[in-house]
Amino acid sequence: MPARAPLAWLQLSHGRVKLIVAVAGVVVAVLLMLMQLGFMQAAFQSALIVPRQIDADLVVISPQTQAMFRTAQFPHVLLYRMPSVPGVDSVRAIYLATMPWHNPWTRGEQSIFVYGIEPGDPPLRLPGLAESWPEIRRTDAVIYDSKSKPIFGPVAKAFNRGENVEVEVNRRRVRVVGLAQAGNSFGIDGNLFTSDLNFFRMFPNRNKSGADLGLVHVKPGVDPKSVQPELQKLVGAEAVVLTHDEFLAFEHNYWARSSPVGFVFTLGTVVGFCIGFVIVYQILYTDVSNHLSQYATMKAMGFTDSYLVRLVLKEAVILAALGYWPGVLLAWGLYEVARNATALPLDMTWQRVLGVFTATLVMCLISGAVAVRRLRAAQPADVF
Amino acid sequence: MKTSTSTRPPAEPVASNTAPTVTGRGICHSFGEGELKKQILFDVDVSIYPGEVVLLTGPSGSGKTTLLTLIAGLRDVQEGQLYVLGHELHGATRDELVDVRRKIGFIFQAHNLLPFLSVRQNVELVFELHPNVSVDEATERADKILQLVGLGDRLDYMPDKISGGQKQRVAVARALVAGPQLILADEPTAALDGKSGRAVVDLLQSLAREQGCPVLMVTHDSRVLDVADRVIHMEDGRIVEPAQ
Repeated sequence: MPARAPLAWLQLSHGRVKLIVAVAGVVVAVLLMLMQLGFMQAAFQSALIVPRQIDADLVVISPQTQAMFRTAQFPHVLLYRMPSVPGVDSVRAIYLATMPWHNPWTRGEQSIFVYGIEPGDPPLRLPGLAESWPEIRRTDAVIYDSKSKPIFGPVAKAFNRGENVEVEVNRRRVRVVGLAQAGNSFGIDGNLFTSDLNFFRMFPNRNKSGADLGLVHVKPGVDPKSVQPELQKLVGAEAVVLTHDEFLAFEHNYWARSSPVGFVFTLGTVVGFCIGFVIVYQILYTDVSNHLSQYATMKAMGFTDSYLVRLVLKEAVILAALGYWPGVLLAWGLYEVARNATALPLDMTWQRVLGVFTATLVMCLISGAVAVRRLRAAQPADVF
Repeated sequence: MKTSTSTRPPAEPVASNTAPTVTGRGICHSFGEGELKKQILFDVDVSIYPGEVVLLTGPSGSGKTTLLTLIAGLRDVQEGQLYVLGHELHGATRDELVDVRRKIGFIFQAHNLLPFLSVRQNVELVFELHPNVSVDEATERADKILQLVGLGDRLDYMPDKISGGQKQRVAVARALVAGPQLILADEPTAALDGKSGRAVVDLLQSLAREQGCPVLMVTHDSRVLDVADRVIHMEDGRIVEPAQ
């Protein structure tokens, strides 16, 4: 025997066009929210790829530094005193600058982010960096980030074919001697790694007494946190000593709070939510309006307001469920497309999938809750 | 007495010791406030006994519909006493009114069937108000009553696929399916041709007789006057002797 008629579904599906429009509205909202949140997390992720791979226990930066791609310099001499502190094993400076890269294939110019690194082991745990690491001690030798955006030209392809890739960076001719994999972000389109000496050859006007990053290694078995206060006392107010975790939090904080990235994508997510709300509200409001005389009849027969409210809210939940899954599938496909186009680390996380599902449900329920106010117009006394 | 006379003797004489289903005493009702206040009902007395078919007639604006909505528990009683199915409606709470309404079978001029439910589902819907009735029993009772109104072969039709007369019969089935203790009908034949209209009132009459529940029917339709045990005629908010 049949179960009780699923009233909400029957009402919703009575008009095919209405149902399709409503579901499409939810799909668009879900898609927008997922894309915006995905891009936001990708921005944070990509900005943190290189900082995460920094091989250091403590990181020294200038108090004026906003983020790794927007550094200020602190006096290099501060680092010289550090090895005297008990527990410190080694200290090394990294110089950072954005320089114009002259694309030999297109003759175009593009900003590239250059790391000038003092001698020692590779300070970044990036795939491929260690292999060609000794090469950068040669004059005008650089390691190119093969995950840089394609606008720099087919550098990796040419290098892998065994061609001699020579490019002009800041008007100095340099030679690519190896490939590493870092990845671009919203702040940086591509990366070059070279020695401190080559860095200053490419950027002769740069003040040599200012370093951008100081990387401190502690001796085995020493807790970096125990050394941190001593080092901070040593550098005073001229630099800030952070643990590696603190440095990552600092970077993340910049992208989430200080850069427009966090704001823009959060706003985009809210807009997606609002679009879904408005469309679902419109559909439910019209649906209630079109059935006012029937609802009034039901009220006269003894159906309570709460029965009808639940009916409308059930419709809202059905719309949320129907629109959500196509939205997730579409977003998943678009992640794939966007990942290939931008090389950003776009991934669907479970937290986001669940979070957006909750948001979709809330969105539809709010729409329903606002639309049911229309039920007040259903006056049972007027049906006679 | 301002009440009524019979157009023909009831099937069984209405015993004066049978408790009336509806008793109204001194009912007054007005709409609007202050300057715009307009009194619609003046000191109306009305009684309806089990098993009766009572017609309520009168020109438009005479207060028939207002009286009907008051008896139906759809409006708050302003003045006078009104007992319906043992409940005093004057001063009744919203929940009490809903309770009374659930025992009443309503037939409206506009059938107001839900367009997205089949004929059977529209009738079954009433049992949403009676959760103690199982789904199977609801279906069985809906099918039975639809057979009775002659729609046994239209059970799974959608409302827009049947004629106006058939829709009105579905509405009658919906009003009767849960075994109401009072049937209130507003112009149930207005939208129907003579033959369908006749069928609907005959049906109401016979079902009322069998189930013993009274029918109060507002109508202008002189073709169906003969089913009435009594006619209550209203003019200008008062009950008057019927024009013979």
